[in-house]
Amino acid sequence: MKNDRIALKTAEEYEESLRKLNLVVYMFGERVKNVVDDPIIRPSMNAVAMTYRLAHMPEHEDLMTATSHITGRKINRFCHIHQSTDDLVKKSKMGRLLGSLTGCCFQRCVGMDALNALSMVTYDIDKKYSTEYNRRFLNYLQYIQDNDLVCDGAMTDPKGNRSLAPHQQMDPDLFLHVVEEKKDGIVVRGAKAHQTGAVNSHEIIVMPTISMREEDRDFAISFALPSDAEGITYIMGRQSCDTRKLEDGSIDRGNQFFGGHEALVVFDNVFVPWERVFMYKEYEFSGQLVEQFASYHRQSYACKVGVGDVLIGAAQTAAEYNGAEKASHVKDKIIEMNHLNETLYCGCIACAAEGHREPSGTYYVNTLLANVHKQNVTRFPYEIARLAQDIAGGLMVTLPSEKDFRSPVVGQWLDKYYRGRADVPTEDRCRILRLIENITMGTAAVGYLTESMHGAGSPQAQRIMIARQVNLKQKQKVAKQLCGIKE
Amino acid sequence: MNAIALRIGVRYCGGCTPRYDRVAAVEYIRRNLPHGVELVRREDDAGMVLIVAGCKTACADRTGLEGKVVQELTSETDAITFIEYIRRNRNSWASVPTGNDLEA
Repeated sequence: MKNDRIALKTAEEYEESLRKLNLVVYMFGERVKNVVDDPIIRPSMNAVAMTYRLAHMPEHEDLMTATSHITGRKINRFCHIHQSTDDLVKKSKMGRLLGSLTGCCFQRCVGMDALNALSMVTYDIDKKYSTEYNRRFLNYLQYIQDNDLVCDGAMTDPKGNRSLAPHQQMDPDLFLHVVEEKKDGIVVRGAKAHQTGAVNSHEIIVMPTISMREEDRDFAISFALPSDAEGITYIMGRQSCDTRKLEDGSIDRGNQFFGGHEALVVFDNVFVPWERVFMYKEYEFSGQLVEQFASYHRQSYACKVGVGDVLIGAAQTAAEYNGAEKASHVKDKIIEMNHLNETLYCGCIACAAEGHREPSGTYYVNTLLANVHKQNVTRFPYEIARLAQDIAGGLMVTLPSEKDFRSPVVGQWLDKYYRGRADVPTEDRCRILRLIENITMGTAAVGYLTESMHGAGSPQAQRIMIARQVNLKQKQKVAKQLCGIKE
Repeated sequence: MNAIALRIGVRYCGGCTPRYDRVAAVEYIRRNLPHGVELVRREDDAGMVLIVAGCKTACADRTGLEGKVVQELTSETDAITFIEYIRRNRNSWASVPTGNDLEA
């Protein structure tokens, strides 16, 4: 990053910057000594690194980079505050691009969405209370942009008993909260669950998880910290088939290069300096922050369209390797997969194209369409995955291991009996089936399926938003007029 | 002596869902351009800019291209058409000044 006009790290610089962090990460009950090179975590780092690598490629920089509205420097779009609907559209396209090249979650969108939501909320709080959150935020933003950093946007508290408000929980730590106020900052305690890409992040941006009332004001806080701040511990989530990454060989992993990860992030009496605090007990703004972050993040599920591209490509390849690609029902299933995938794309493009400018100057998505898009994402990837499994056939889940294929005794039989088309090596057939398994049942299914269901809010959260935003009365009025009902 | 009559700056769209291999198309153009015409990354040295878009939407950012001759590529066949266009007009390009490195 030597050019004054450009603030872009290379993928190699990103990896090196992670090595300088002193993260406290636990997995399988033990502290991870070398996070970057851990074979289970490494593929997720590779996926984030793609957000850096593509920014330097002429054929992708138009989507991957933007011009900072505060410095005029060329920055990574993941650090950008949207300045137009064109920026919003390019964000959706960037998500598809990265999903289509990695076949997984690349983890960096959540920080971008947190930054954009805070750019609006800090401005609005200042308007009401003459606070200085927006100035602090813009200083922080420039630091993020100038250093091309990855931010984890941490919203989801463990939440305990869902029927109780934060202050009513038997254990107050089930929602992250302030435990001490000092002259130079605050001390916080609690945890954030399901944190995508947490240990690949330089920074962690904390936001409240739900709308709050006055009784919950100690929980209505937002701040940012370096990811290796004292008192923060990461506990890695398991993924289906995760330990295949520890095995010799490569076939059974499915995706050779990329993956995602989630972690529980524990804040055990962590100090936050005032300069990094962006909301402090202004409880009436917690709902706005949640809604604005969630709407951006629901748009971000454009990435699943890209993963869908990979899965469709894999299904078509499996059909060809099976010699079944000309069967009419197979062709029709591929068409259906594409139809569903492009329908998803329509939603993320539409909510961006129909975005608008907020008082802060930040451009914000059309929230109705963003919620409709995410609602579709809770469904269509499951159907696309079902169709991919239909086309792939049962062999996808009955294949012996790569070690058996390498066995001097039984390997020859597997090669003989699991060959499809004569001109396609059995190994290639296995590889494409393992990739479909990876995306629909293995480590990548975390991102493609369950994250599609619950990430950025579970389906019911979108339905509530849809119900709140449609103009039902107007629809009724016209319907009544057209059939002659007089009121 | 290597006279450069025209430098063509290449600007890609981001490539979210390209309908063809944009990089391969540019390489094809590079290999088939007439002598004296070359593709460059730096647009400020270029007498013409070629927008290489993956689809007809052609959403590549146009900032900074005001006043420049801009051609657009949105398909593989456009690459062939573009080469023919350059060849057809090669004599007129010879007089187009393209910066300090006009002759090397």
